[in-house]
Amino acid sequence: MTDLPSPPSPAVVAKGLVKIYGDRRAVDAIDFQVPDGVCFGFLGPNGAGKTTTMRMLYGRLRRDSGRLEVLGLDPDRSRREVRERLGVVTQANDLDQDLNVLENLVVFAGHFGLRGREARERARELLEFFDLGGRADSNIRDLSGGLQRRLLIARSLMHDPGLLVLDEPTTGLDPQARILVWQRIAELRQRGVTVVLTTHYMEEAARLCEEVVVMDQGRIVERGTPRELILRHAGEQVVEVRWPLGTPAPPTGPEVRRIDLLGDRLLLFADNPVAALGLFRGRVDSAATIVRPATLEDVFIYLTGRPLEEGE
Amino acid sequence: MVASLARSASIWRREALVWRHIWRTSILLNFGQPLMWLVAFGFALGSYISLGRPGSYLAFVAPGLLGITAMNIVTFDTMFGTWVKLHEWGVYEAVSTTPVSPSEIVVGTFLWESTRALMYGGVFMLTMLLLGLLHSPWAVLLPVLLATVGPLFAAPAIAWAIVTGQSFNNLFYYTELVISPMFFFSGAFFPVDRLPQYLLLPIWITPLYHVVQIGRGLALGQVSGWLWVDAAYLLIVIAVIAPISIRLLNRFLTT
Repeated sequence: MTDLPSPPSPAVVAKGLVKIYGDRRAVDAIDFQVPDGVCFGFLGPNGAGKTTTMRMLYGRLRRDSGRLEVLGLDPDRSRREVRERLGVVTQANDLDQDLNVLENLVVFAGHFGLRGREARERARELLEFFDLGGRADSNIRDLSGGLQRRLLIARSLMHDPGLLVLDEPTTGLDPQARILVWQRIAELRQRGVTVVLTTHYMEEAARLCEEVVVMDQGRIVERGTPRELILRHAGEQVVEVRWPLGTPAPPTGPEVRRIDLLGDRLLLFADNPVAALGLFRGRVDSAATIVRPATLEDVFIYLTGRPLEEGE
Repeated sequence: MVASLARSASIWRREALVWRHIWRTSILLNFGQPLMWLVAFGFALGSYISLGRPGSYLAFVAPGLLGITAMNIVTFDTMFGTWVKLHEWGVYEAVSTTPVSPSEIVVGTFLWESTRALMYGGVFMLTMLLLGLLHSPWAVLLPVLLATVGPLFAAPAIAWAIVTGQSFNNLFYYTELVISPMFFFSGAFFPVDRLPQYLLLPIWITPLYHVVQIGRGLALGQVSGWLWVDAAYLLIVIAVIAPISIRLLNRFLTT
């Protein structure tokens, strides 16, 4: 007899997922699949439908049509079973202001059936993991935004969920706090936790996510690994030159894949930056010229920063 | 069923934990006031009042004040608490990422409000006992009445806290237009049987009237078959309003 390991089933499968508010299609027939054990990112500007999609994952919003499976279950039909296996951090800071730090974790664990010493030990462990060990008895009000965010993530992990849903985990945090949260998420990833997150920080997605989708106006407009998206839409290198407003249209040529005008800066996407700059010899201030590797940010601005074609 | 109750108990535990932080002020506020009423209405005013029936006014008014105390204890905590947890702090929004369902939140709230009614009403009962105002062994059933007051007044308070929406001031329509009239006209302070006919039906409909009737009957030993009617009416009110508050919360937390 051979024991063939069955391929791990995906954590989330969505097909033709739709959510309608009034006459607006907040999520407009999207398909995606989150493989087990990866960090999967939803990128997009505000109002793109990312949060609506997250809320459908844990059954907070009922979908209007399409198929959705979270850990093999339909969140609308098996809401409780899905929530038992899911850790969710919403955008809102919904910590319980009437309870202290430790109590927030213990009470939340109670909602998942975890009680007593087991819950307290788990809470202490997670407080240590998130560098909150000394704050167990603190009031929520006395915690900075970064600490509260870490506590929210700790709270979502109390019942050891198979899938973690993070809706904009670092929005509003200062850079140090953000990096700390990133480190923790990366560590959770190494422990095998599947993560779905939304963000509009491209650096966050590039650092944490193996796969991303870019949403705009309820649709998925692009998908792949961050690296794939960069190579597909931006190439290896970007040359930024100063291009004062009112200057006539820049020259083009085969040396440049694409040119974006962002305010008074011109972005030249080129695999060979020296050749691209050749086009501009004598026309730009070389002291204000930068050559840098292309980032996901460049892709994002390209994909979502221009008006979408009507009737598309 | 057992698992569902366990999840409701988790909501209860949250409230109990919060109470442990604030019990000193909570007791002062919630027990000081009824004690003051007892002194003012029972002793002071009572010495001028003759009911035209045997027994002192103090003995008559004390069970009424017990019912009022329980109603207030439950109403204010539930209404403001639910409103804050729903509209201000997102406590229930957070709960809705867990396996605890809206109906389990409501049942957990009922359990906690019964607990509060038993705690504060229990202290009031003890005061009555020390003052010799419990005239009958039937009084041992008073805790059952207090426990019933939990869901009885928590259910409408939850419903109102939800439908009132974001406006905090709207909450006071309920306390001013529903709770206050009940306070005065439910037979707690005076016998209603001599009021004009057209007032009797509105009074009979209020749940507090029946709470007071049962409470007085048990405290004074005036037990008759009518108390079953009162009890049945209270259960019917719960059976009608509790599902409404569950539906409202369900609609609020799943859209």
